[in-house]
Amino acid sequence: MSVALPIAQTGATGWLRAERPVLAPPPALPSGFDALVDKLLGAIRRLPWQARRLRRLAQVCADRMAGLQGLSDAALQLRLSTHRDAFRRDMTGGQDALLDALAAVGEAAGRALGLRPYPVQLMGALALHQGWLAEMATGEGKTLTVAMAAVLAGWSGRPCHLVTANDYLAARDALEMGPLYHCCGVSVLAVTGELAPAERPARYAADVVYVTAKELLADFLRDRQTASKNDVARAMLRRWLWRDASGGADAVDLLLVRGLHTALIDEADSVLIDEAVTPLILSAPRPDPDLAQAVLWASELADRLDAGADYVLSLTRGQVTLAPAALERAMLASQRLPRLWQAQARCEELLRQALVARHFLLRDQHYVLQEGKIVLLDEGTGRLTPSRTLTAGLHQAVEAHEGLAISDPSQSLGQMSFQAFFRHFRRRAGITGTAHEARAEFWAIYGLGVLAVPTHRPRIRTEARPRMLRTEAEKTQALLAEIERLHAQGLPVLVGVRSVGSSDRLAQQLRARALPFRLLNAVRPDEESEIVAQAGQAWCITVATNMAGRGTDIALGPGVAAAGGLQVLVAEGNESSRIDRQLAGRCGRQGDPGRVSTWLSIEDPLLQRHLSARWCSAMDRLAGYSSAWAAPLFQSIGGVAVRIAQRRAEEQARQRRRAVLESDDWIEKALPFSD
Amino acid sequence: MSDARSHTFSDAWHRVAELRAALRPDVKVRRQNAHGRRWYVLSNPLSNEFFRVTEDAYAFLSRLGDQRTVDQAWRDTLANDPESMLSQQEVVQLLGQLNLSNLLQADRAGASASLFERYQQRRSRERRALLMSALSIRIPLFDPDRMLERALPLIRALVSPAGLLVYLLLLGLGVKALMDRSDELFHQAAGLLAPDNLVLLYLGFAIAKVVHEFGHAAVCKRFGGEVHTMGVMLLMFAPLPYVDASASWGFRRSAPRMLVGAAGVLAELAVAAVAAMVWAYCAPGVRGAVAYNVMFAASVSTLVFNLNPLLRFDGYHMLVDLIGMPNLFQRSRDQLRYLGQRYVLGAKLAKPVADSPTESWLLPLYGVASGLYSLTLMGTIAFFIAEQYLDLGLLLAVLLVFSAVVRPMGKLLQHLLLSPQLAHQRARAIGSTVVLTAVLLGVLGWVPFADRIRAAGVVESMVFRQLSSESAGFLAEVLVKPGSQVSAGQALVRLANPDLLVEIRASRMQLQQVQVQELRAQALALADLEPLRQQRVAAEAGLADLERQRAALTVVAPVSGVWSAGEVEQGRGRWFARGAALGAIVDESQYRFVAILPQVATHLFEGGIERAEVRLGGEEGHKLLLRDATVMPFEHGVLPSRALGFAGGGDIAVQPGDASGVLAAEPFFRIHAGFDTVQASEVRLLHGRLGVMRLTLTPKPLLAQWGRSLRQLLQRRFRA
Repeated sequence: MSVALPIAQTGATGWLRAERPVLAPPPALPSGFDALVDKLLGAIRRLPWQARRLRRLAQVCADRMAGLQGLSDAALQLRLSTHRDAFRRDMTGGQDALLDALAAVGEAAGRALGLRPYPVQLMGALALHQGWLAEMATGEGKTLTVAMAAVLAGWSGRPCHLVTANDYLAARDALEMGPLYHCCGVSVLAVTGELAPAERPARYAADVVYVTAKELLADFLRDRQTASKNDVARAMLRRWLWRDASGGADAVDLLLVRGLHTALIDEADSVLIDEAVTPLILSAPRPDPDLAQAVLWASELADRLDAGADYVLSLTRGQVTLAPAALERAMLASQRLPRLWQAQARCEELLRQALVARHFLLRDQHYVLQEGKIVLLDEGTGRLTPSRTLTAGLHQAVEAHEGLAISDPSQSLGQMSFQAFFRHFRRRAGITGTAHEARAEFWAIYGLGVLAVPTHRPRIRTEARPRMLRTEAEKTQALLAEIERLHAQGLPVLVGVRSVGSSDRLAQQLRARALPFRLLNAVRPDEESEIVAQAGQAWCITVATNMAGRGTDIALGPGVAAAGGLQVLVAEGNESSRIDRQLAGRCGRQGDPGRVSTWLSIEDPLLQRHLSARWCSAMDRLAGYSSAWAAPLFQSIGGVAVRIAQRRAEEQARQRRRAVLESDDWIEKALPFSD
Repeated sequence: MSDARSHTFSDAWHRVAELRAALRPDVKVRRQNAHGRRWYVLSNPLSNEFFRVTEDAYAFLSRLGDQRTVDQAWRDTLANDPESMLSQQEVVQLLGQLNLSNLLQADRAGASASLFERYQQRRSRERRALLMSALSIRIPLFDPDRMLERALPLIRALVSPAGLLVYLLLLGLGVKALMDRSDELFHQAAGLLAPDNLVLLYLGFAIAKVVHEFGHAAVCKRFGGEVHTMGVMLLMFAPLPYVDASASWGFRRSAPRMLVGAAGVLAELAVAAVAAMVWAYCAPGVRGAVAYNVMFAASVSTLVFNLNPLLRFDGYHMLVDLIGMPNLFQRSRDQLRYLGQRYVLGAKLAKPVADSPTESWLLPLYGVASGLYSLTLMGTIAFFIAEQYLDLGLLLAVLLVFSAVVRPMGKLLQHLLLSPQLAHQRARAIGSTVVLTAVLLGVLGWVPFADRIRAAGVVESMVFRQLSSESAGFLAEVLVKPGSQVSAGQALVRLANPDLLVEIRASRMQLQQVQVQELRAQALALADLEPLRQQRVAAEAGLADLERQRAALTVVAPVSGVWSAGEVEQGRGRWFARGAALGAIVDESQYRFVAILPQVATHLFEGGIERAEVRLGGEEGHKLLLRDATVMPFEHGVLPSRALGFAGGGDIAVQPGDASGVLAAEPFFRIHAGFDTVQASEVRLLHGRLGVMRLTLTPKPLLAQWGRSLRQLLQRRFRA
């Protein structure tokens, strides 16, 4: 979706230089006892008195805002520009100046957007300005909160990037909040995926840029390459040394990102935690016919191997261990391979990748097929990620398994993890609905303290105890019965599932029962906004993958609130309790009623993958007993099991992120040559 | 790198792909064989940093240069030699590690800034290491390489077959000199640690170690290594020289490496030989004393410390080279840590360090042995120093406790709380650690163990009479075997005193002379008669006295009983002064055992004595039960036997001025206990026989016992 916005009046092209963007190295991660002390400091910082202090300040700010109501528009403009000049000089000025400025911005929001910020929103904006990670429930007006903080940051003239969860939100928020920025004299633009490179520099030149983390990091990496290729001094040296005439200084003004100073991150847990597992790799395809041949060979061979006899799968660790005999067979057959792949280590790698592609990467859960190509799914959001590929070799192995044409392996041109990238910003702040669970990591990696912002109106959402069932089939039946029951009452129902595959299966069942429903998954992202807008209407059943969890606000239709509000059914346990809570946050916004219930079974991938087989079979046996005490015991043990499985999954994910960060650090240190 | 092998493509390839990098031209490369594999040791002569790479990796490095990029070189290998090709991941790791070791040069900038950063990091790491090893601080002083360069002809002459011959000759002469004066050798050794000798001893050490270090340096230089650092090491705060001969690690063959390691000891032994000759053939004096100390320092210490593979000195490095397990010390500790993690903490992800069956038993064995040894050694040294200088000793003890207990504990805690290795097993790991600690503390702190004290003492008869010779004489004949029953009046010993006989003869003749003079005076000079008579009476009395002494040469038993006489057993011909002890006549029916304890052991009174046993000297196989052990809670100035004091070889200090050796210098308790009559018949109870008494007190937990022992030790040593 392209966003048409007036080009800002304060473009600053003078920022573009011929130098490679040099980043001050982020502070080293504390290790050993320093880490322990750091942890302690984080815990101290999160003590509740900080929230109470900010709340008091926000109240003062709200009072001053009320005082500005009588002001004429011109007087308010004058006031705003005075504040703007002050912020340009010193953005960390006194507390009093800050409260005055924020009150003026709040008043401006009231006039420009027709939205008068509540004290809790002012509190959120203050928290953002002071570098906190504000935890604000869905529907509390996060967009306005972030925008107010962004105005303050934009006034300083230093680059402010407002990082959103997806392109749709970036474009929408920039458009919706435009009048406020305009009123405050701050230029704002959005950068989205479909923008051509030539259009980007002008957009990045705005005071406040709405952009997704992926776009921002990719552009930043492209800049690094452009700059290093065009470094005048280095180019001269290279020409002198190797008579290499390539690389002039012409492309110098192709630099995109203006600089890294302030990052205000919306849906911070998604951007900083969930997405941070995979580093962003800038890549270009590079033909490799040998690889294609080798991958086909391995796929053929893998089809003839037996699980158990020839290789062992470890579900919990996601590893394949090959038996020596199988390896020998592979070596015997390796004569047909190109020479490069004949060595034993290479053969083993090929075979292992072929097996991983068979057993661990599942269609409709990890990827979908579109137009003869593999399109990966983002496990956290359930969205399609057409620009992403698996590592070279593995991606081709999946293609071979699916019988598709083997694509050229991509060769990396630049790489950085999101964690390392966001650590480079001078000022960071974030906002999200669910941060509490990952508060320790936010502090340890990003130095962000989590601060809970109270809701404007008290919540009246009810949460049913999770229902644990024995098999997947039983669960589906119970779930369908529940949907039917709620639908009969005329309530809107939102069913959250984890993968495209299970959303399709559930859809079939619903169709079989002749229940009307809308399906929202990655395969049809275009109808997203429309489906979401409808989801709160009476009689409406919506089946959605996790993509419905972020940044969407489901408004209730007429009469629904009185009947009991939106009914959210969590149909599968998620790897992180944060994502469960995120989904639960769809209902009960702004004091609306709502109900959340969770449906689990022993056969859920979450339990299968993170609990031992012994545990699962014990639970299965317990579910088989028919005595009176067995059922409640099974329910409570099931609850514990899910919590443990989620804890393990979260810990595993944390380790993966840590490993990504550490390997990034090592490479940065060991191979400091610019790329 | 097994993980890296299985990633043909690397996402970080772009970092190096366009790079033109190569080993720095001044990097030296040597080939080495270890465990049947060929390795290449790369060394940076400026910083003395080393890095070992595999054959394949070296082949790849050889392809690098400024003519092609890393990517081109990789594709070259791929085209020409796919069998030995490194994966991209391996190349990235290799280049990164080489760059971190400052062995790589590249056409890109960006490296120089981090070069300084790495230098800073290294410096600060070294400084930290310096603080942590406060007991062996190294202060580099100068670069001896030029000096060694000039001395190279001399070194070549020494390290040659002819040199070996001269060396062996020198050692032979030294040994001969020692043989010649072996009697004095050990006599003088007793005074080695006397306070007035410490300065000389240190001087001896300093000389020996200077030669030692030059030995390493010279041989290292001889085989082409460079020695750039020489300085002073503060070992236990005593400055001693050191050199950095680590260049020898890069030697291709192991024989020169071993020789460099052994050179220090060999050189020291040569010094010891020279010193031995100086000491043996010089007149006593300062020169002799210095020579003696040099000889001691250069032989004993070097053999005990330098050649001991349990300490990280020369012997260790030679052992490492011999068995081909580099980093034995560190790896043995890592292996122990791995065993602990794997089997105690349950970390399934922990990877073993040992990569062969031999290593899997050798590494833990070495780790335990060297750990215990160095702990014991440190403890002994701390204790030894504390005896002389209390404050310093306590400081050392604190350091020891810190490095042996507090730091490992801290590391364990850190590991338990933070290590990512324990990701899934953290709860189990913490649990098993807590349980183990609790069990250990429980056993030590609550479970009572037998509490025992040992005390030296003597067998004493309840009724006895001391026997002493009434006249002086040589022991001529023992008439009755000591230890046998004698009756009153029975002759026991005959002494011989030729002087006495001569004296008697002289005295008789004098008497005769006086008698003759008296007869003559009766006839010629009556006036002289009275004085002469008095002279005669005196002479007669003197003679009678001498006769009585002669009679007393045969010693008879004054009472009946068992004659016990340790003194007489020493043999014939011994001189007994008049009044010297000749044993005692003892009533055999009633013996008791008297033991002596220093008075700090006051806990004797806290709990009762449950059981008392004694083992007598010479008959340790018999354990005799004692009954009615009672502690005399007052001070006795006089020991029951000379044998219990320092003067008689016991361990109670006696007053230095006391010739009898029974006046104790420190307060003590006496413990009396009777023998069990039935058991006592199995052994010979002799008056004055030495024994060790073992008192079993009410059982107490081990921690309480150890704490008490420590307190008593401090109290006794330092009178604190």
